[in-house]
Amino acid sequence: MIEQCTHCGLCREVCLAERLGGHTITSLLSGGDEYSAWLCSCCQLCQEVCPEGVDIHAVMMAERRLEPPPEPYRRGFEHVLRCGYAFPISEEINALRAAYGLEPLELVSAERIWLLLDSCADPAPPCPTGQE
Amino acid sequence: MKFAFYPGCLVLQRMPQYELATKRLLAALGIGLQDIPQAACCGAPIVESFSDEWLTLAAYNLALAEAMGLDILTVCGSCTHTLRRARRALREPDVRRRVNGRLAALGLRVEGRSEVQHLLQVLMAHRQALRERIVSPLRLKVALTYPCQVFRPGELSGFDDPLRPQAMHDLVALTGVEIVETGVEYECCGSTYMMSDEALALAAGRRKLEASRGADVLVDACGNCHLLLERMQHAIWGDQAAERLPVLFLPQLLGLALGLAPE
Ligand code: SF4
Ligand code: SF4
Repeated sequence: MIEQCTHCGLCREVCLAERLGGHTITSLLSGGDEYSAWLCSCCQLCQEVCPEGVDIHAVMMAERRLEPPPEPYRRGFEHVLRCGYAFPISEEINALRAAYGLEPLELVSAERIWLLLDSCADPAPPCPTGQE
Repeated sequence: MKFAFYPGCLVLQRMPQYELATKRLLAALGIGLQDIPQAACCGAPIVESFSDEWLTLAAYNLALAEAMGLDILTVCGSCTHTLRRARRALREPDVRRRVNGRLAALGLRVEGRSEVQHLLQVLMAHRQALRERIVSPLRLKVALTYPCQVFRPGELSGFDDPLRPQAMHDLVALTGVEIVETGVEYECCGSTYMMSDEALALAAGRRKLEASRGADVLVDACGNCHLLLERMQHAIWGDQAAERLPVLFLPQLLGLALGLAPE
């Protein structure tokens, strides 16, 4: 895990967010203190090149839970808790599918999601319909 | 041969043409795809960033496919990676026991029997059949963009080269197109930055599109790449609308060469 990190900076060198001027988890690993663990695409390039085999993905997920989430992530998570998908997907999706000649799909029920994820949050209101 | 088809939230909601092109192409190769009733979000970072229960959700999807007796076929990088990582985590008997305790409430059980393969892997395994089905060679210049998480980390994917993969080159080359090397085909598209820093995402997208100048079409194989590079292209170019580059999903391009009807 993070104890293996030698702060060599290789992960930061390859990271696209860093090369475009952003500071993400690789800044933390390279010894910097200005970063956001949310600013990452999970492209796994850092993970692939790290000579010490640090599980950067795991470090990042742990860090994210300490930082306030960006709104789109928070909303996406809420959608999953409400309806099982990261977007507000409802039965209307089957009309779109039909227009493309795709078979209707049986969507996951809110009850099922609740049985799986009830430990994540307070009861959420029903999934909103319509596109975002 | 048959797979359980896992489109993931993004393709399910916004990209039915990707699902359709995938199903048509594979049908032409004699590969069936069966929808997974009641499949849910894979648990990808959108859940994992908040809770360890991402694993329960991923395992739930794996359990559904397992009950169908089928391996899973994915079309996005993120779902591919998340489901594979869950499958690896479930090798631990303790983890499996805990997750199965949860799944029992739904009458489900996961052992990790269903493998997770991205469309690219399946197409590579059927390259010969694909070659034989090409009826209309394409005279196009094509730029490529690889879905990162299908190939990385290499120890999880076990497929192709994690830093310089070749699968898309090999598949697209079958159609007779000219491949335009962009120098950034192996780089992340940056689509997911959209959720935390929109300007950074647009800068990343612009990098790809500018490097792809000279191509008639850019080809991707992931809903996230497509979201930024195709759907958000107007925002990337701003008022340079004349720059617009057509973007196709890989199975759409291959479908054209097989003479399959576009949408
Ligand atoms: S590449 Fe690995 S060892 Fe080097 S700074 Fe990054 S995490 Fe640490
Ligand atoms: S996974 Fe995130 S931190 Fe690592 S290289 Fe990719 S964008 Fe950078």
